[in-house]
Amino acid sequence: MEITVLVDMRDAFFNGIYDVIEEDKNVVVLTADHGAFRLSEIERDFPEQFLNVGIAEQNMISVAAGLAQCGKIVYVYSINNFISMRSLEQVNIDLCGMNLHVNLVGVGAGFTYSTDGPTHQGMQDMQAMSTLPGLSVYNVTDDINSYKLAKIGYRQPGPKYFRIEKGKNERIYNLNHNISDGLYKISDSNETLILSTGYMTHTAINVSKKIDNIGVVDIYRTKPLNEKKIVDICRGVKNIITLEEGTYSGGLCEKIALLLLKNNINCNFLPIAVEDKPCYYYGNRQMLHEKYKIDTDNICKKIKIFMESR
Amino acid sequence: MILNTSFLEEKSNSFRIKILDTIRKAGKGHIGGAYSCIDILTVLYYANILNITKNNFKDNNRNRFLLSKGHAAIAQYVILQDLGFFDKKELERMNNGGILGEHPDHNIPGIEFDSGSLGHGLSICCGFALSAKLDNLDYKSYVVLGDGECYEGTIWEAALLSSHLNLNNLVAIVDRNGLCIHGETEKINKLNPFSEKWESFGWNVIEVDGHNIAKLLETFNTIENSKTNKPTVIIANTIKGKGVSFMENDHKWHHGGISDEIYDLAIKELNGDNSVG
Repeated sequence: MEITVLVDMRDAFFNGIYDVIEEDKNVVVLTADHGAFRLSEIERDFPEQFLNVGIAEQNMISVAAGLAQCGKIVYVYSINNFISMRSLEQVNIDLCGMNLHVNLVGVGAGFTYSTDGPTHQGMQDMQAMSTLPGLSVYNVTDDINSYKLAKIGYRQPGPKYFRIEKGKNERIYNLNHNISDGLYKISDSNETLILSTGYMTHTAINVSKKIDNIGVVDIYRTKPLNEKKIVDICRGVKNIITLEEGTYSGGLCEKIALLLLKNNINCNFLPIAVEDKPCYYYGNRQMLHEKYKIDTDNICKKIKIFMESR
Repeated sequence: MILNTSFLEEKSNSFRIKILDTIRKAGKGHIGGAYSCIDILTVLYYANILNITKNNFKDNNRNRFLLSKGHAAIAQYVILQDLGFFDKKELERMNNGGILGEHPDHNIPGIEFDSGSLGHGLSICCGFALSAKLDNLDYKSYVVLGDGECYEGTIWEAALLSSHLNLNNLVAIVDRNGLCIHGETEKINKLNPFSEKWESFGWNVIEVDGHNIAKLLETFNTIENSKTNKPTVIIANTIKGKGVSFMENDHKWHHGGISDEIYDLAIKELNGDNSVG
């Protein structure tokens, strides 16, 4: 993989798949008529291992289950709402129940599709996926971890959900990062830590530049959480803030809160997520973040009010 | 195995008795849909169609079989037990702490895939059949669907894709008993013209009497020797509750318990005593 030039996160993920499909005839990629530049190169170079099944995501997932039951390692690709919530039962019964080696690759994390409305915005996809037994859930942060996560998809058996997005986020990771950790402490603080996931980690970094003594931890595997590491990181920290581009209900905030409670971590806790209602407001991602008060400035205000109230 | 229709008919009848016994003991069960497909399953398992045994069940090139109308699982259970996949004590403790419940799961020896929620099986078998093509293996994938199951949209998603991919190694058998839980399919939400629908989706369609063992045998053998490049669907016209007169064509026998009185009446009929009912 070219690491000097920032790559679209979809292409980075498909770069990872390209590497493994080249090596292993058992790898199959299905798409429900959704594309990416690098995916079209997989189609061109490995036509027998690629199939566009048409816009029929539920069928795609059960077909993937059949393939995996026969020994294939399958990646299925579509917009994330359509392979997560539309196909929730197929994922639950056919993939999780059977514990099959199928990688769900959903593009459209959070407000990625900011002008496409609630049908395309990934507000509850990770939340819904997190309820399913045995399903690992990943949320990409930049092109490097997108690439490395694609390879986790190959190496680790069992069903997984990868919440990816289009575009280029600023690079945080390097190829030496141990992707099995599920998280990365970007900066440290005993005063305040933001545990964030996906695109919001970049916002968290911006916030940490505006308020003193804030550390940032990127959690790219939201299920199963690396509980031991998170507990170790949070113990002794005064304020824990969670930050995500998805709903509060079932979100990272609830998982972290439960984990902290279970482990008797005594801290002030501020969850920041998106309210539970469909977004019928159209604009670019920044505009939607401002609308839902999850942009850098609004988060800084929330944190200051929170700290003053303690 | 013996390809003798009277042997298969007797076998199938013995399974009806075993299903009745098991449901009586289990407290409840899906007897109507089990009786409508038991003749089909008997032919598949005992007439060298599936060729699935406990010894070859893990072979890569074994034929695949999936009962997509998973609620009729008891019909498959009595056969798997008869073939030695598990002990008969499991039938005796069905729904009561053993490995067998109302719907089949992959932990049960001889069961390929979890089933119970309708509309999944054809897609999964499409995956099996596609895998066979990718691996140049010659096994076939068979799936039994309920006709009520064909209300599920995924059936038609899978039907489209299977014909598009020319999966001539895929055989769907629709147990066309014409009844859902609450009545006739044609009154609830009509499926007819049913064969034409499958034809228009690009399938090779064969209609057969799903209780005529000789015709079923002939049909499966025809498929075996067919040169078609299409997937095949057998519309098996059946009778829900077939074999017990007062259960036949009565949707109320979709699911329930068997009282002693009902048992006595049913068992007499299944034992060939026509003086009842």
